[in-house]
Amino acid sequence: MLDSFGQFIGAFGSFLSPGLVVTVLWATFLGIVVGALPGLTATMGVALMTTLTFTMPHTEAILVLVCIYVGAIYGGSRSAILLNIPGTPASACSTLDGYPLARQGLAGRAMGISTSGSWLGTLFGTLCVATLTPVLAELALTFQSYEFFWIATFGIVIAGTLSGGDALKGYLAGFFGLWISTIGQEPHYNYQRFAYGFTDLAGGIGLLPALVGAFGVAEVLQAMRAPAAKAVSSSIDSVIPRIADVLQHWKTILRSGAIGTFIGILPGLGEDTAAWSSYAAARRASKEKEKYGKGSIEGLMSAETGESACVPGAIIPVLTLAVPGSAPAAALMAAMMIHDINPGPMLMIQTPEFFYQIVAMLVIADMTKLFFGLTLVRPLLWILLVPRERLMPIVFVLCTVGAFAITSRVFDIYVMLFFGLIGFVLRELKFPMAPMILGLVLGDLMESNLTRALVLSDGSIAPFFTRPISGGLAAITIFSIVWSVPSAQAAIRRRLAGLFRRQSAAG
Amino acid sequence: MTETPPPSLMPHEQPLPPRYDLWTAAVFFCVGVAIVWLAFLMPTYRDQQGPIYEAPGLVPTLHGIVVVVLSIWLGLRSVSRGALRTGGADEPRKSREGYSNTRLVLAGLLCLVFAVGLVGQLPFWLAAAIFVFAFTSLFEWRAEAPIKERARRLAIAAVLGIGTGVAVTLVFQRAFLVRLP
Amino acid sequence: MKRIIAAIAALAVGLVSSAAGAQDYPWKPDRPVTIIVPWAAGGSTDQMARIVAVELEKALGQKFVVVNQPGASGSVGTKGALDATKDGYTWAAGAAADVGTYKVLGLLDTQLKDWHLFFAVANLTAVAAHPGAPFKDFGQFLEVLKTKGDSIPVATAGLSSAGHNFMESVKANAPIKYKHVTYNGGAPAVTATVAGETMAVAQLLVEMSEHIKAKRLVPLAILSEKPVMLEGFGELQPTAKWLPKMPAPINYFGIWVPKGAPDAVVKTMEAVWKDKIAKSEALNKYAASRSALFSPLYGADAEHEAFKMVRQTAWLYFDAGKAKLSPDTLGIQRLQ
Repeated sequence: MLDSFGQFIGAFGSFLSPGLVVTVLWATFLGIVVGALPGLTATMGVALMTTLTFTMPHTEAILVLVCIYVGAIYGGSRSAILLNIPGTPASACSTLDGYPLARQGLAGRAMGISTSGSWLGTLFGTLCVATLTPVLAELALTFQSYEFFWIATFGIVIAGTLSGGDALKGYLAGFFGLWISTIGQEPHYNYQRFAYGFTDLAGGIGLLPALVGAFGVAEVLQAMRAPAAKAVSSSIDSVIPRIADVLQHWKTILRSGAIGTFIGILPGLGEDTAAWSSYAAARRASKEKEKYGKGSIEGLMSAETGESACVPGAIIPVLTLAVPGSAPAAALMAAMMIHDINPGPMLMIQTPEFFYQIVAMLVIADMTKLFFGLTLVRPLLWILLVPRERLMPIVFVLCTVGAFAITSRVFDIYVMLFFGLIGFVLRELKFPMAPMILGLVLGDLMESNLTRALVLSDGSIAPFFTRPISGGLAAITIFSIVWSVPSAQAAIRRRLAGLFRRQSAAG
Repeated sequence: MTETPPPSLMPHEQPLPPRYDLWTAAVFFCVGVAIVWLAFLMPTYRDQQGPIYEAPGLVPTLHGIVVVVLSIWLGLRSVSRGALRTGGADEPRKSREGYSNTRLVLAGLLCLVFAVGLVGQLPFWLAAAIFVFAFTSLFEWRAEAPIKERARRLAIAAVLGIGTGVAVTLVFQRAFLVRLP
Repeated sequence: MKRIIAAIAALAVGLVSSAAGAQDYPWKPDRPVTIIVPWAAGGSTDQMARIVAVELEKALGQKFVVVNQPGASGSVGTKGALDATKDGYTWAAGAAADVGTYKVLGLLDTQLKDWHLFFAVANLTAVAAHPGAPFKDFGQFLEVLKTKGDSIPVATAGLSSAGHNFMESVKANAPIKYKHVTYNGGAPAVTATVAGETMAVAQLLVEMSEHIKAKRLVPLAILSEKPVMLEGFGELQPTAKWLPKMPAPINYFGIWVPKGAPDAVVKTMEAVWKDKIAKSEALNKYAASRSALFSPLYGADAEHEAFKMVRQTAWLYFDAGKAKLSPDTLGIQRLQ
């Protein structure tokens, strides 16, 4: 215990050089700006900055990306409050109560709530990273191919079930992503699937170009199609958070922090799901339900805490299982791999110092976010008013560079364009993007572990169900699928309700 | 728990008309069948004593089958929600004001011309400058505005374009040593 | 705003990375040179390429940027270097055995003789066992594989990896069987054996030397004719002790540029290789710590030495039915 505390202190110390402080400041600020600008998402910010930072030393590069991620999720609520447009999908929930507060002339107070909620949320999540990661990593060490196959499958299923609402479309997107991941050379005979003689296709579809396409290009198209935004640029009251707002809602903050972190840990569910779930839970427990949607401080607080607690939460499965907890975390994981940090169960054994560094990075990013949240109000407002006609072409240029530069292949630009189109069309058709990206990430994990497990068991599928952890994971996965079918869910609820009634009648 | 089962969409979203889902299902059905068919054509390496679970086509076949099953499900669901009834394709008239497909197509075309046509043919900074200038000036063009205003906007677009081109080239190529197309 | 910040950052970085003094070589690169590593970061090729890049930077006063372009057994990245403008600014890294057999496998239309080769180290292939496995040396390992090989899982980084080629070569020289379990790279294969999912692992020694030193793996043998010292552990036994007839060619790792690159570039590299790389302390240290062989070869020597491994590997593929065309037709004779 004392030893790990010393490690934390050491990790903090390693980030205290003046150069790194400057890095943290610009990276977090950039993250907030990226988040605040509608059309620039956290995923895209992390993916683009991966390109920009890949000649940096690896801890510095990951530090930049963590700051971008933390900053972007927070920055999104600025545009949600002031423009009624979520800067990132994660902040959609904050528009419900944030914008009404701004219209009542309480924009400053709303931003103060957002700042304090977000700050506490990330802090809570980071505490969970520090305590849960070693435990989960220990557990994950006992996982073999059978268990990893189920983890991957469960990831796709849970992302499909919860991330977009419509489970059926989530599954379709997930399996479409899984199929895309099978393009290219397979491991057993080096057969080039779906490549038809193109060496570039035989190399497979890169994750980062696909992410930049689905979250960057698709956003550009969407922003250009949508009507122009108008700000409530009235005078802004004090943005200093009120202690009373925090103290009064401590229950909401704790609850939202726990929900947000948990949603983050579940593979592929992003900050948007975390915010909506925390919001729904807060509303259910609230004494002033009627205020929700009309400028409830409690509602805004829950959404902000939930989405920000999700950020560290999403990093936990990256560190322990090499399974991303959200779309930006997928980009972060890809960056770790590029920088030769191998996420997964062995991380805690091979490079334990990196785990402490990640915790330190999260805390540093969170503190910097608080600092900017309290000081930079005017400049952010000014940035929000950049017209999209000027912003979007620049974003597209950055997307092109970002997709190209990671492996210097023109082919990746075409991948980006293709995913931009697919992403735009599928989103218009109400398909969630997260399962597709998760499919692309987990496809290889799923396939290689499935075939490897079958090789080890000589083709028997029994161990998938008879090994204790594997069997448990199988049960959870199957239950999640059944739960997503509305009629089956209703039947289970009825059965459960019946059970309770009988018990209470007997008692 | 008296809450209704989770809504099928995020609370801030509008449902789509069911006939859209039917068309989507049809497209995914075709994609799924194509995947299964192509995966089926892959060699199985039985002649090299390869076990069936190592066959390259196995996993894509599984994915393809799931896509087919889900697409059929989506199709049936959309029919049961009234996709085939008259009015099944009607948009719920809400919050769609101000959306412009003209802008969408124009933006899409400009991006395509830049990414496929300009990048790689011209030095990157020039390609980026032309693209940003064209994009900004086209979308900010107001025929009814006075000459002076139009000239001002063109000037801003030009500055923005050249600025982007130079800054991106400097930052990526010189500072971060990233190769540009 | 974003651009302003970025520009300031650019300026700051630009000031720091001013060029170091370069000597008088005929080629003075005026922009960063790219080394394409056709494998993921952290692998044996990547480690070697990054050390070489630093040495070249010192010698030529210009940045050498390592770009990872993994995919399709390294053929994607190698193709990138092959298709680039022949100006000497795009290099590929890798193992000679791979680039020499792409054509045989039908992956890419290129051969060893199409490149100017510059080798840095030679990596040895080794086989090691989980400490709980019922064999402690290569002899026992062979006995177990002869009697019940079907149930002994051996991890490798997949088809045409050094480990798989090694096991196939053993199979061609002794009546053994084994259960081939593939992983997505050398490191995961080694990790799986440490964790006990597989009983043995055949991979490059570089990738397992740390575990051998920590006693998490028991080394069985290395593909070599003579014993090799592993710093911090002791002597490793060669395969020749048990299978004297099995050829044990060496797999060279280095960087190369397609023929057609300007003469000045090749001349400069040869001079740098002779003056700097051959005396590089960093490479020497890297090789010694991982028990790789430091082998700064270039030109005709390099091609001659590497061709042995290509001959061995190409015929291994052909015999296993994995070749798209006979090595004979490409002038690659069987290694006796």
